[in-house]
Amino acid sequence: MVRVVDQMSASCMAGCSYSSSGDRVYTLKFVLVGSRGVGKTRLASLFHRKKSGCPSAAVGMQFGTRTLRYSDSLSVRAQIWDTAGTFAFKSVKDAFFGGTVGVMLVYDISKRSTFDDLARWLSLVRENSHKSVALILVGNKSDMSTTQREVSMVEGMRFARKHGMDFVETSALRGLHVEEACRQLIMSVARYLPQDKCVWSKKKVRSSHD
Amino acid sequence: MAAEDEGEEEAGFLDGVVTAIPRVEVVRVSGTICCAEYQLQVKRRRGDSWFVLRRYSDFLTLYERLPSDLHAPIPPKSWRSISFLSMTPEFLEERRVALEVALRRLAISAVQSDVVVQADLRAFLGFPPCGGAGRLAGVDSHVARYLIRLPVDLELSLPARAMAPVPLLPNLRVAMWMLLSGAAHKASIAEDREQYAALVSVTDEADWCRRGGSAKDYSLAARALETIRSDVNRTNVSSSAERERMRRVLRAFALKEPRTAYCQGMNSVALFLLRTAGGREDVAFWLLVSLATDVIRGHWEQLSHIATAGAGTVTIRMLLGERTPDLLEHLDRNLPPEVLLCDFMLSLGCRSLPPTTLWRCFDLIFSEGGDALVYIAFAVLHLAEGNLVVVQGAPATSEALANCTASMQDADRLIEIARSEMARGVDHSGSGTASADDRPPPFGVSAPFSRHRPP
Repeated sequence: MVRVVDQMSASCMAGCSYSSSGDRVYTLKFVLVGSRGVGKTRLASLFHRKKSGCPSAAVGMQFGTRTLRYSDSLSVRAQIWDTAGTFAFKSVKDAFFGGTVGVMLVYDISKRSTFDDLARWLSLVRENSHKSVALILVGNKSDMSTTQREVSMVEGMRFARKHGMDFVETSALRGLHVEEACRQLIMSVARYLPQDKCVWSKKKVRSSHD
Repeated sequence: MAAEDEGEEEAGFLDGVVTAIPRVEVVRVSGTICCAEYQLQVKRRRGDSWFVLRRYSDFLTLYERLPSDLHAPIPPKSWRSISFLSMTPEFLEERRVALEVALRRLAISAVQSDVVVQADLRAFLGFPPCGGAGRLAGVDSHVARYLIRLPVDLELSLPARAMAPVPLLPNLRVAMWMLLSGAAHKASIAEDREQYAALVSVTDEADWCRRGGSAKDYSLAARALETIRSDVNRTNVSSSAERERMRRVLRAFALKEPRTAYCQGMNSVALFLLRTAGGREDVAFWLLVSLATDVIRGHWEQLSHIATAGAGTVTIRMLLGERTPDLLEHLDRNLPPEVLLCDFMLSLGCRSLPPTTLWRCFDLIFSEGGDALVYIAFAVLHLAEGNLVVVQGAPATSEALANCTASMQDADRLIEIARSEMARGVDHSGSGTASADDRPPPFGVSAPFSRHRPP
């Protein structure tokens, strides 16, 4: 996994800045993908901590950022790109996946078809983003009663294990495990970022980044 | 400028037009072959030329609409094309040649054809704005332009009656739109089973077939119905009655035009038309039909099709490159215009612009044709430029544009820019081929650290 840093360094470094105390703050890009209506926008807005009623459907793309502290000297400014589920246009695919370090694949546990679509989404991700991009599988709407459930937890886990992803079931409606899912994804990337306080290049970097 | 050309051009726009299909390319999605796109080259007598991308199925669709006495057969649908694995270069080349011959014959035999055929061909060959959609309705475009510019207080009766179903059209504007877009014409000649009330009353597939609809059409529409339901529930409306109206209009549209059926963003457009039409569902419905099938024909299909870059976004990139290269460069570094404008293009601005400005924009679109949309989008970017260039990063850029559009009350300015840019036009010659290779690399990859260095 060390290659993550090596190979992604170009895009990561471009997003590195320094806080007043010399801490590193990385701006990292994460994307949410999944079929329409699985709750991507609601997941994202929970994570950005926006007050949300029922969000209207995302058309095109929506963005949000939030800063998380990883260690004493390192923070991550997570930039989350939320896209409409019907959205896979050729003209914008590059822009959407370019520089992405983490992907959240979302499906709806009460809708079989959204789970079946995962393979397609995954291949889209594999095709367009870096091969060592961090992935997490999210089964949303876990608040649904067992009778409405169409995809079992074991199935989700199996799919995740098969493709080397983390897995979590969330309920964006109740706000269950959403924070954990996002943190898990972000931290799995942040682990590979240089930790040390950066003193030597502080001045130089600043002047060129202003 | 367009007005002067029109006379001779519209009478026989095919006169002296030379068509060719110089290339065919296979489009891959996720590594697998998804379809093949033929590059049509169209040259006009006056010397300009451009390219459009069309698929074999586009040819089929065109031929379905054409009268059968135009003799220019196209190669039949092959069993081989069902399996994409068999899209061999030899097969595609063979078909390309056959299509090229058919297209040439078609262009010759269609010179003397009627208005409807010509409109279909115009759209297929990607001709620049056809000088007002009003022509389709048989309205003289000069008259249409004169009317739409009259300093009448068009909003006179709107606000108070906005929500209640009223027997009369709520204002002159809606009547104008109906006239210009050809919606009035369509509504007046629609067959019984195509009338709005009939479409709304369709209960299920059996019912649909009994009325003479095809099962295939119904299955196409049915696929969209689920999407419509979920999107309607996620649209901000003022009352549940309004929501219900919107759902009925969209459902009727999906049944009427099963090939387009539904595309994201259409819900906002339907809601806007409904509100403007004072809650008259049939009016909103016919406006939507005319919009999708004539005025901005192909717009939604192109945007939602997985493999084609919307033609409009290509033009916007060209416009930006020509008029404001600095802004284009800035956007490419942060958020390419295709992405930034995605929402705007899908919903025709209905999700972002304030209604008073939107009315004016639709005036322009209905009177000048679909290309006006591209120029409006350009004008929006132009007006927002000051706010866009001071921000960095994708989220901030998108937010800056959203803030700008939400407060764009000065419709006069917006329309003026769009109009004047439209009059200048865009250099179509050869630049339609601006391929992926010429485009700057996408966000993130192309932004090395040093490029942010201040001067």
